[in-house]
Amino acid sequence: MARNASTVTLAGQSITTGKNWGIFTQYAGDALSAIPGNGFDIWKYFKADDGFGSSSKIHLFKDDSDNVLFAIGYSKPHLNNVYLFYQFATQDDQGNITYLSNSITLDDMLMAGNWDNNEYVFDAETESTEDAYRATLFFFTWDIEKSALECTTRSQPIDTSFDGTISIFNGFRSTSLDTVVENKWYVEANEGQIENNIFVPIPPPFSDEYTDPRHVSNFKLPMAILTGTTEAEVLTSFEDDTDDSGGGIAGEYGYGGADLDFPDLPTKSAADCGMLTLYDIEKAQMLNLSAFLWSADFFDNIIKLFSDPMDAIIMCGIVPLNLNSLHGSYMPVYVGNTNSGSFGYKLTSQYMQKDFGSLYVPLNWDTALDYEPFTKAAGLYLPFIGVVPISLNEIMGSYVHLKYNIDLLTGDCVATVKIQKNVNHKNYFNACVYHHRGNLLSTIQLSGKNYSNFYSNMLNTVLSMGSSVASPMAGIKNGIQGAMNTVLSAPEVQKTGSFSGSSALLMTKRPYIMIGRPNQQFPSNYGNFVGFPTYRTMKLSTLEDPQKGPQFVQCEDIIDSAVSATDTEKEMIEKALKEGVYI
Amino acid sequence: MREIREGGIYRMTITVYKISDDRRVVNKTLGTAVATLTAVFKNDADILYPVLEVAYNSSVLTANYLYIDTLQRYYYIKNIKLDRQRLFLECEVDVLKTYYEGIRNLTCVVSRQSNINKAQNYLNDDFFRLLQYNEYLQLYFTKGGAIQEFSDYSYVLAAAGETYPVTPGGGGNNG
Repeated sequence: MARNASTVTLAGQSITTGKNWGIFTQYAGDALSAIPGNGFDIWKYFKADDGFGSSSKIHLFKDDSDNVLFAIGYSKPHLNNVYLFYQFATQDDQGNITYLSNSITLDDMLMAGNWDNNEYVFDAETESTEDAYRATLFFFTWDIEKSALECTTRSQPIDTSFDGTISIFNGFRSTSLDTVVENKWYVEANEGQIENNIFVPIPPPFSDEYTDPRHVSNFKLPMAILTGTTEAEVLTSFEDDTDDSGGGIAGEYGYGGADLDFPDLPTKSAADCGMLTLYDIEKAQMLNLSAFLWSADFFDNIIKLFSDPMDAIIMCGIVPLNLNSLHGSYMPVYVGNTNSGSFGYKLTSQYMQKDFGSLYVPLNWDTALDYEPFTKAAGLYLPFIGVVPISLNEIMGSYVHLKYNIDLLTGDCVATVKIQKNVNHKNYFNACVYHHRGNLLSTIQLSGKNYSNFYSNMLNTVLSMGSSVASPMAGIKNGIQGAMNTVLSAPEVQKTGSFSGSSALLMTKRPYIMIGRPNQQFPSNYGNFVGFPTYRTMKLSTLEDPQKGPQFVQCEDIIDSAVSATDTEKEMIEKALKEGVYI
Repeated sequence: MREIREGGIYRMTITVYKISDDRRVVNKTLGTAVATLTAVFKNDADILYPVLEVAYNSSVLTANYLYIDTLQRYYYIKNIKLDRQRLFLECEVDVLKTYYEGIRNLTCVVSRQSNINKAQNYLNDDFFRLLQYNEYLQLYFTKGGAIQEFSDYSYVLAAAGETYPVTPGGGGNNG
């Protein structure tokens, strides 16, 4: 029996922002940049991983009287949305827990957990469990400026004869803060069912004090919903889909073993083998170093030239990084084993990694429109690399994680993109799939060779002058000519000095993914005009809806004929079904 | 059986309706019968497209649907012809209504249907109608709630040799 949704204010209370919203778990994830102004720190009350295997918590709430549990876990704020994942279960007297969906298994987590009063708490630290509490997804939109929490849910009291058939589910849609109704938190999606997962709007359980680690729910609606509902009943309408003879189940995506994680940095570094030393030098010390290299004491410089101090500088440049994590001791800078008088931080490694975190590519339609060729990825922009193509089908509905592995000696960098995907919220994929190379070093060209030529020319001039003492005028002439040559072969700092990464330094240094979504013209009552794509083996009577009236159905083939008609009439029936009828 | 055979002619009872349902509706709503009449086949009976002869009845002129009890079939009235106080009803069998119970028990590969909850929304829908302009979305990588980018700059220097070079005399700092 379908139910009419209504809007209720939970407990009639005005919830203090940042207090009673402290539910479930603590959040230690990311993607909260959309919080405007002085929003409360919602991440302090949620705990979820960043989608890539860090620690998460999930809580099971237990109601002794109803003997029903529901689990809530993996809250994932993204942009303006908060995703809550939860799962219903029942518990018998022996404590055996039965979940209402075969697609969700929490066994691994349960083994690691323990009961704490009426709450079952466990930590999930393995990625293999994430799929479990992502299986059911709920969608909230928040507005941190508001103080009330409202939730669209069923009317009270609950009809205990509820047969498990859930009415319209509109799917998940992104909603920006601009569309949030004034003074309301609300649920975007109505109750519904997708395959094996039940979607029931529930408000978050709230505690009197948000610091209460148990966050015991006093909200009973979800439990009442379960009364009289069994897994078999819930799945009744899809029983034909699981029939081997009928098909209708999408092909499974293979998950071939361990995740392919980000590449580790090399354990051997040129910076720790004694052949060279890498420094992070502050600007003032760079000026000192420059003064050292460009000393006004001409003969000192000549001496240094003979010892070729420029060649002792293997690389000098600017990198767009904070190198604090690699800082060793603050010590004198040695150039060719000569103390330059400048100081810098010795870097402990040649390599470093920059983690850009992750982003989630949200589904907008929850239909084929969310994928190519309808929605398209304009590309992935990687600073110092450029815009690289990326497959939208691979990233849609996925978490995309970006890290740069950087060689500070050469400036070479490799951007690695890891994709964690649950295809249709069900199939699991977690691997690094994109690697792109670039260079982020803006070299400060010291022009050692050119200056060597410069000084060589100068030296030749002096020497030629010295060798022309017997003929002063000739010597002067030669000297002048040599000086002219010197001028003509001037250091060419401007010409040869180059910043190989300078153009990149001037570009946007924020990586991003740009996607283009179609705008669909979606007439009202679309489903009853042309129907929604289904391609399932079904008994036609299961599509009847006495309350709504005749329902459109179009068939591709008749599997089992139960009609006693003439052949011609059967052909007429088949023709009508293929063209579409209202049953 | 209500048919009466007289002189080689089958007489049968027909119930005439005026319906408004779309022809594609399987279980059409009949409403109140317009008339119940006795009819005979005009020519050789075609069970799919019979032509029935009935006595003139003005109410029949507004009807569009009938049921022949003898044949246990529903028919559309495609056309009505008048000839000397007789009406000739040109009919076409409605297999949907006639075999409603059988049809609803059919097991089919359903390509499309109305209930979005039972749809496979990720199948490519040939009926998508898209506006010519797209909506563009730029997604940024975030960490700890903050958008990430290259935002710092450092001078880095690689110099040959160790900071504290080992001297032949036993190491140490020569600087």
